[in-house]
Amino acid sequence: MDYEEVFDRHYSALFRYLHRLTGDADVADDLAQEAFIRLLERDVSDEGIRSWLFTVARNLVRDRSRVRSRREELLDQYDTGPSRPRRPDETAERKERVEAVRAALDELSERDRTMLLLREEGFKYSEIAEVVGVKPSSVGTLLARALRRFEEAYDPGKRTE
Amino acid sequence: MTHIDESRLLARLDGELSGDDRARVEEHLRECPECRERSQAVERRIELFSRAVERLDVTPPRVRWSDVRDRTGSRPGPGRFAPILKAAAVILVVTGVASAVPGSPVDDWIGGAVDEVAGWLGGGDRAAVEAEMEVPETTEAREAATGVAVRLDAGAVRVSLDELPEGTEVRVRLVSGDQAVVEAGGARYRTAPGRIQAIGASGGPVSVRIPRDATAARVLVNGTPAVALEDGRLRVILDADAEPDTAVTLRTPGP
Repeated sequence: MDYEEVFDRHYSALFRYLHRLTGDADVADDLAQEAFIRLLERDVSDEGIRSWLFTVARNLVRDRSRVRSRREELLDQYDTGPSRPRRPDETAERKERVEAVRAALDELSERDRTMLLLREEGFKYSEIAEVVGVKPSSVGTLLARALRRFEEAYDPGKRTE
Repeated sequence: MTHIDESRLLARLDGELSGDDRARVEEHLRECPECRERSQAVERRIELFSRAVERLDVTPPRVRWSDVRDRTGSRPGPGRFAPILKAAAVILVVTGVASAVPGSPVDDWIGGAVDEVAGWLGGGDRAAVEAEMEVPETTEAREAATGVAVRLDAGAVRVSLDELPEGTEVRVRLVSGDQAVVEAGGARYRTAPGRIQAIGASGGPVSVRIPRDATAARVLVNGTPAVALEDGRLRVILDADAEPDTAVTLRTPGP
């Protein structure tokens, strides 16, 4: 396998996907690189590489979220340590509309968010099903529902029928 | 008339319908203004989502495969950095002696060790390995043999301190020169241009030195941005009330 070629082909998309999920460019870069490092240790077929990389990336994000959630839970419980870290988007003074997008994404379930972002990356329904672990036949229904939820969260004035 | 559900309208737009099914949907859409309108609504939602998430995008960092590969070494499995670090530690201790006695057996031994590490890394590039092992020329570092240093990359540096135990003290300070340094007892290290990752320090104080001339610097603790260089001072991101300073200290929160 030509890893350099694989890296050049997939890194940007993987970084974009992870950045959209996490809101932190450093974390996205770190996790993207970690996914490629793990690829070195696995025997993955050429045609399955993209799905494999995004599946690993999704798991890395979920693992990281679990650790962060536990820490924030403890901070809430004891209210002693340093103040809770602000989201990178806030610290970087990103524009209000960026915050609105992120807030709407946060309203979605992790699965819905992942499915919509994979679709944005041009994944076929069969590939989306593989990454998130659902039946291929249910991907269309789940995507359509997720799009509605995003619209309602992003633009509360807009109520879909 | 049976209308087309949204999932099939979306699947049609995504090119996911089979030939026969697609033909049936197209025929229905020609005859059904209600479904045409719903299809347009789905299209608007797709467009809304695409435009929205594009607003989040930033330019990807310039990362090359060689940078990533160099983070790993060539050996699979956990602990893959341990042999390199052991060799590095030994080399750090004796480098001063060897350089003082050119041609000595010690110098040959060190050369062999470096070549061996180069072999582990898979490239056989002695210069690259020596660069990876570069350490600050301080007595303190040699004695500890637990620190690594990297030069700034385009003026920037990023330090990741991962798997730090709860309550670990992290001291970050600005220093002169162009090298960022991390000293963390018991840690494993990964380095790349402008990057240091220290993994699994033993719990003692961790020292991080950032060149004061850096254009950008960031320290992440257990995956969370903790300290950033702003206007020539270090700001503790984890503590919004802390005043930026040339030296800051923080403790890692629990998991």
